[in-house]
Amino acid sequence: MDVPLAKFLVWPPFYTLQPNLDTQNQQLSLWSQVILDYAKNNKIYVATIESFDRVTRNSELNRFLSEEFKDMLFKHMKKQKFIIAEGLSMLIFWQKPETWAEMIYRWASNSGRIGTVETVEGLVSGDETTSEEFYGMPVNYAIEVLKTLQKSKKAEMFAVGDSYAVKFF
Amino acid sequence: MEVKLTESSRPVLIPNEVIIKEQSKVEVLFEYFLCSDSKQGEYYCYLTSHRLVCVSKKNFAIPLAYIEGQKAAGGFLRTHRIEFNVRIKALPQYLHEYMPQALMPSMISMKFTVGGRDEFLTQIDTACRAESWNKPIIVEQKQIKVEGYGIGGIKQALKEDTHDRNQTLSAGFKDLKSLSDKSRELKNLASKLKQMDESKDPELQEIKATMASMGFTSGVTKETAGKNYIPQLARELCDFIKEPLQNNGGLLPLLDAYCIYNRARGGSVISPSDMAQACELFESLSLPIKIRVLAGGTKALSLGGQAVENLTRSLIEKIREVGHLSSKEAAEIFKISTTIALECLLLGENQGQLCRDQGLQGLHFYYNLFLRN
Amino acid sequence: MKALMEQKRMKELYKKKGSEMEGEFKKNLKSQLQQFHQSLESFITNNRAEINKNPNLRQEFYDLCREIGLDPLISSKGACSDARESDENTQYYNDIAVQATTVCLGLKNRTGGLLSIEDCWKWVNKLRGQRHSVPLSDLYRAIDNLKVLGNGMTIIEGESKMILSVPMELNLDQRGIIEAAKGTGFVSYDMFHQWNKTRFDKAVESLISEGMVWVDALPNGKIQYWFPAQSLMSS
Repeated sequence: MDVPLAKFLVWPPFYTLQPNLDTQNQQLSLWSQVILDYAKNNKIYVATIESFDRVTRNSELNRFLSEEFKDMLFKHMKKQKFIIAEGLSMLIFWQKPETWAEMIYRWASNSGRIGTVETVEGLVSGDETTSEEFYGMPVNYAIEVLKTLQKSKKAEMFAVGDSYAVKFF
Repeated sequence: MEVKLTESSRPVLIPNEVIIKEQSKVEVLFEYFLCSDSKQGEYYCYLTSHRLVCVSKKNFAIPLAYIEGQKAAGGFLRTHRIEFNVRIKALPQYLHEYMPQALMPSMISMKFTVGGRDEFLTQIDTACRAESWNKPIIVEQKQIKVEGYGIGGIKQALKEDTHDRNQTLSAGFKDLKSLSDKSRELKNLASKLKQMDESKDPELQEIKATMASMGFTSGVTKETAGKNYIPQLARELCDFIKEPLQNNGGLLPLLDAYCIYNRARGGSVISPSDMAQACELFESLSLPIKIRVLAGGTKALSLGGQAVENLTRSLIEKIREVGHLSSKEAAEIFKISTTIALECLLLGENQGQLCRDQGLQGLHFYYNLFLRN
Repeated sequence: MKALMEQKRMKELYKKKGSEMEGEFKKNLKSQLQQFHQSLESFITNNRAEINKNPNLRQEFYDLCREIGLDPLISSKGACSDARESDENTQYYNDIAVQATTVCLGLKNRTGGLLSIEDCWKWVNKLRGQRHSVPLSDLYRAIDNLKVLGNGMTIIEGESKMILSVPMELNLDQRGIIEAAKGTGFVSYDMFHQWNKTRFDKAVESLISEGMVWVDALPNGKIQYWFPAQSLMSS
């Protein structure tokens, strides 16, 4: 039993950073969900704060998130590991890196790729994976994902000239 | 045959077992075959779907499957009795762990010294006919796999399923018994829905209500317990609410407990006043749950007598560690209700150990550095 | 190589068709379940007394309700007048009491513990389903019955009746602000020119501190104060 997220988005005070700390925490969690949903629906892997202006501004309501608010929000999302900063942009994990990793590993296992080496680029943009959910993932994003596989000893990455390759175990 | 009892002296139930009737002050006489010995004593009797359980200083239980030839006896000027024979029969495999073999009497006579014989006998008849102990506990679930097993396979699986479904739904519900059978099939249907990928489908989530399913309790009612309703309700409540209390730091607001308990009962919810009356009996029945009225006016159930003080102490320690806490933060850390958190923080404040800072940022409690010994 | 490609194409086709058919199945199953829902609802209302008498049946029955998402607490009011405390009537008010408690407790973290009785009513009726909605007066009475369990749910009288489910007292100024928010769901200082600013700020801030009010800073510099209990909650 709860109020749907969509209702919050047409509720004016949702766009003002709340002074009550408990309320603010709630608000930041809700907004994190809004950002992640938006990223998921539009397959946004890499973004800047401005990429989300569409959701953080509501012209009908005439409300928008202040710079301070946006700052706090993305700090919060970094802390929760929904975002990994990379230079001036950020990687958005609307699905946890571990979940992506499982998906990739399952594909590797189903297609008999255990023990072979793949280029990371081939993994996300090659012919063999066009029907996979992770198809189209940017390489730097995929690398973060594969790092978790590396951690669980299910794969190992290494550099090949300018690019990266991965071996599955 | 030994029988396991809860802390409140109610029988621990076998899976799928429900209590149908209870009766106090029954004098039970046991006669043993090939033995002139007979035993007698006054018992509180529970008739369940699976057994007759008699509780007193010593307890025993007879599987209903063993009961034969039950009849009314006694009459004018003689106390109403029920008499029946006990004949050992084969029991389903799964029951063996719950019913260790013991010396069975060959005949039992139950004297109903404060009445209730007729209703009890009717229920024995019904329960023996129903043979609930023969119903399988685990219902087989058919699974539908829709992952690349060939179009043919998919079509076939869907066809079979539709066939089952149509059969089930076309039958009317006029008959309670047929409903009882049908409901099992329909549970299958519901489970199938459950097995589908919920996380990706908000509609599926909508279909399932968010109701607390903490496991069904027999649900003491006026029908099953008669004059003993409130005391037995107190006992059942105590047995049930122990686990939720443990999961909530040992304290629950009375209102929350009312809600949780009633949701577990399913349909026959108890009234607020019944609940209040039952709770008042905890003390006199020497049950381990206490009812407390807290500083802010909240009535709460407490596991043991020290839960409030212990929790308050833990909160104060935590505040010394992290600096300050709001009731919401405290509730999250200690997994307790926010009302209870607030009450304990208020208690700490009253004791002079905590002080408050209330403003736009909310209500936070700090350790009182001006504490004077 | 060609065989491999062909195999891959077939696999994709199966997958696509599979999820289509699963979709069909889901839709079908949903509508079947909805139909069953309704039949079950009628059955409950007509046979409530019977079911309650038979604990065996009761268990299976309500397990099923829970599984398919049907709230079993939908008995209807007895035909007799209010004065007589019939068993049916008691069941009816008890059901509502449990549902009202569920709603207030469930929404507490969004509302700060303050909920308009009308919104509580709407949510309770949502739980019960269209065919079993109850009048506001019956909700009142059910909540009134809960008094015996302590001050967990208190009704604040006034023009906009509210339910308070946190252990606190609302003072007159706070109540005044709550009243003023009726209809729109928010207040601002220019609705209170008869008060001096300090008085207004003090009352509003105390409500913010309780989590019952959210601040809304408009682009033009004005500030409005919103009650989730009187705006966000309304369905």
